[in-house]
Amino acid sequence: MQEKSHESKWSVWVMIALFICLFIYGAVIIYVDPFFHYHAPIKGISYSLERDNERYQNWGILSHFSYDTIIIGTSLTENFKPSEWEALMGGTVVKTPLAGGTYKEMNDHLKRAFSSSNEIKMVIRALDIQCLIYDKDAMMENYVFPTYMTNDNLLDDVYYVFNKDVMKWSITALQNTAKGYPMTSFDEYANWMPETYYGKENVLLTYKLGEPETSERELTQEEILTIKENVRQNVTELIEAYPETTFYLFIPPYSICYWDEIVNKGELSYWLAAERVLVEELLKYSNIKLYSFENIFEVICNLDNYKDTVHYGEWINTEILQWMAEEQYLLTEENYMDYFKEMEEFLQVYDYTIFH
Amino acid sequence: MLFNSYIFVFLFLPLTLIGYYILNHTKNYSMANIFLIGMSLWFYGYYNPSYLAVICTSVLANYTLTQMMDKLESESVRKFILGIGIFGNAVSIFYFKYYDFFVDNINSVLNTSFQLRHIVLPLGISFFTFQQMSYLVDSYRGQTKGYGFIEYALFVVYFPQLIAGPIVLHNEVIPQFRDENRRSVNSENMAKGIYIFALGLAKKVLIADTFGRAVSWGFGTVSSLSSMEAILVSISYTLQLFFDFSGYCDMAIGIGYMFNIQLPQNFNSPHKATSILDFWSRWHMSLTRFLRQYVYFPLGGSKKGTIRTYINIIIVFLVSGIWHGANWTYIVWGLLHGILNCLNRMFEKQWSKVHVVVQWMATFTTVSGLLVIFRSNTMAEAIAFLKKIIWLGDFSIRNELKQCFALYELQLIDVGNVFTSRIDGFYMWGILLLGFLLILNAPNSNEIVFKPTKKRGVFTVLLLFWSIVSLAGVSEFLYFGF
Repeated sequence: MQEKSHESKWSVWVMIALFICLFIYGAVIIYVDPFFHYHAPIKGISYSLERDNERYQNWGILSHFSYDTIIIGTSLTENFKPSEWEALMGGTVVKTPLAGGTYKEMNDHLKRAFSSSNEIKMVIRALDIQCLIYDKDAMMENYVFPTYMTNDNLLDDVYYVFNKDVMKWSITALQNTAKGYPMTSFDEYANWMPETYYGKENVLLTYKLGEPETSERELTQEEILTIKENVRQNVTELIEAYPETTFYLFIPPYSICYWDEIVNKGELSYWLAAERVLVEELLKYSNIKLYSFENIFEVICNLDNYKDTVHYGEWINTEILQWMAEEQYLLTEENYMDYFKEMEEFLQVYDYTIFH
Repeated sequence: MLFNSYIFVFLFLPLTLIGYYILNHTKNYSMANIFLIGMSLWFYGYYNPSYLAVICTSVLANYTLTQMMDKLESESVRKFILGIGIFGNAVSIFYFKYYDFFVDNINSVLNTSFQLRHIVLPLGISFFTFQQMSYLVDSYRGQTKGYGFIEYALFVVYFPQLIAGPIVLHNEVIPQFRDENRRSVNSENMAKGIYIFALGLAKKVLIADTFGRAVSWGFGTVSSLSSMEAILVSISYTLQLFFDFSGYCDMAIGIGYMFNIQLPQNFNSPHKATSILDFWSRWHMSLTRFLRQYVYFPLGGSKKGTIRTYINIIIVFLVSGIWHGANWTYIVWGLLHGILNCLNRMFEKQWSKVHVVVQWMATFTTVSGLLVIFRSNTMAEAIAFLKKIIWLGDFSIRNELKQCFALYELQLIDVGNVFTSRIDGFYMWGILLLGFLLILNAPNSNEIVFKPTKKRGVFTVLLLFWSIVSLAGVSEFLYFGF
């Protein structure tokens, strides 16, 4: 009998000790909160903002930070420096890029931002043409989204509170604090400049043309509807709901080699028609400023600006902020038809063979 | 639901234990059984509730057939019903598991274009179907009279062994459920159960999943592997599979103890084996036992002459191969093991004269080599992989492989990179060495003599804690082109 009670004491002791360990572990994570799931950064702790953790940190940044301006978009927004926009236009800017993200994902994040306690004056958002003809609910493929970071279910917070990787980033933050490093700035956050090579050679490595298509592809009615639904649900609904906010929307300048692929596939008028649907949907609103930098041909034809067919270096991001602040390359009801005409004429006759 | 998930550890297991023992405390044993069946079905249908229809139909149909066999006297009718039962189970497993494989092969051989169905394989269908087939046979033999439906259903769906075995026989489990002495908490079993569960969880989460990263990397880039990388990935897979599967079984056995139900041993330190025959007497023992009793013996076993014995052995291993999955890789793996078993039998005398170290090395290498076929997606991939090993051309090891073993918590311990700066690939070599030490030296869950000491308590807490916080990670960012 005595033997038995010894064993049950052992089990109870093990359970209590396990509970205490887990409690302390969870308490450290909740206190440091490296992905800002529960609170804003604690003053004095040097948090690390990482490109790899975008989908874990952005939601918390938008929920708990103080700001009035948001920069959001795909990897083409990762090299933006919020401090530059603050210098040009004032305000407090956060950058929440989502590499490979769809319109839906950006919109979900913006909705979170608008439901936070911040009063949002400006949204700077990239609208990648590549993601235009997606279903309105499409999300990035082959990725396990951390839904426990973005839903209101408290129970699934176990995935956060007892997560080994979250502890790793908690410890990293504490180590950085001890070493006296500062918290990652939004200018540095997700910036991939230092690790990148640019120029014609690199760009040409990233694409191979197939057999040229002789017939020209046309945009179907069904596809027009898909675009309109995508844009309505994921772009214009918020624009309509927040008339006091100014939305700086821009179509990023892909390189001439991107268009080489499009022309080779016989899809130039297809994509320009799709882009036109987007532009016409957006120009209905007065609280937007819509830009396209695709027709700055000295930029897109200079491959020294690019690391592959679409990704440009950070100096272009700097220029983009400058152009937007100065309202250069603004698309309006009056000029957008000329813009499309100019694009078509240039891209149609461009001598792409110099790359082949 | 998986044993290695938060919902299981924090909610399902405590809830099930408490509910089961409370109902038993009120002496309401059949309610306790029904409760356990209900919880087991929740466990089974957690990820995909549509699986429940499959398992419930299977249980109902099989039980009805055994009832008919019990009631009827005519031998030929009973035999007919047994035939229907075995055929029905075989058809269901064929449909869910092999339909696409079969059609795909017909299409490629006959150049036809029959539609594939892409049927989602219900979890553990091979386990619970085999278990019920054995029950049908025993029922036909008149060994199962007097079991009620609830008892039968509990025997099939009892959650610890439902998804990945061990494949239990009715006479191992049902009598234990009937034993009233096992219906109240036994602190000795509870403590032992917690300990074995902790060992199993750690084997799966800490060890197997670490090797698993190296394996996924290696099999994802077969064409670029160096010979050394191929060897290391192949060894990693052998260790991953063992720690994964035996870890899962240990968890099942540990949970079994918590419910005072002892499940059969499934692994008896298989990598201590010094011959292929020895390996098979230690590896996935409940499957081997099933195949021996319900395939090998009915075929005549070793009683019909030497040649028939060898044929029977090869048939058994072919069935084993097919049972593992719908792919030629499994079939070839099974066939080769069958042939090796026969050769081992033929040359047993000569083999016994070989030095034990050579015996062990040959056995481990053979088992690992054949597991490359088992793990590959296609035979072409398997051949490409094995060629890399045999080629022995390039002994370089890329950082990607070494990084698979660089656990963050180990890096934290190695302050100032004392070890990693001196030994290239320190974590990889260290963890591989640990793997070998464990498979060769550690006692298996059956050999453990459990004593509730302080040291063991600290060890148990450490394993449980470390495993639980390793259940979730930040999912890798796989969008390479960004």
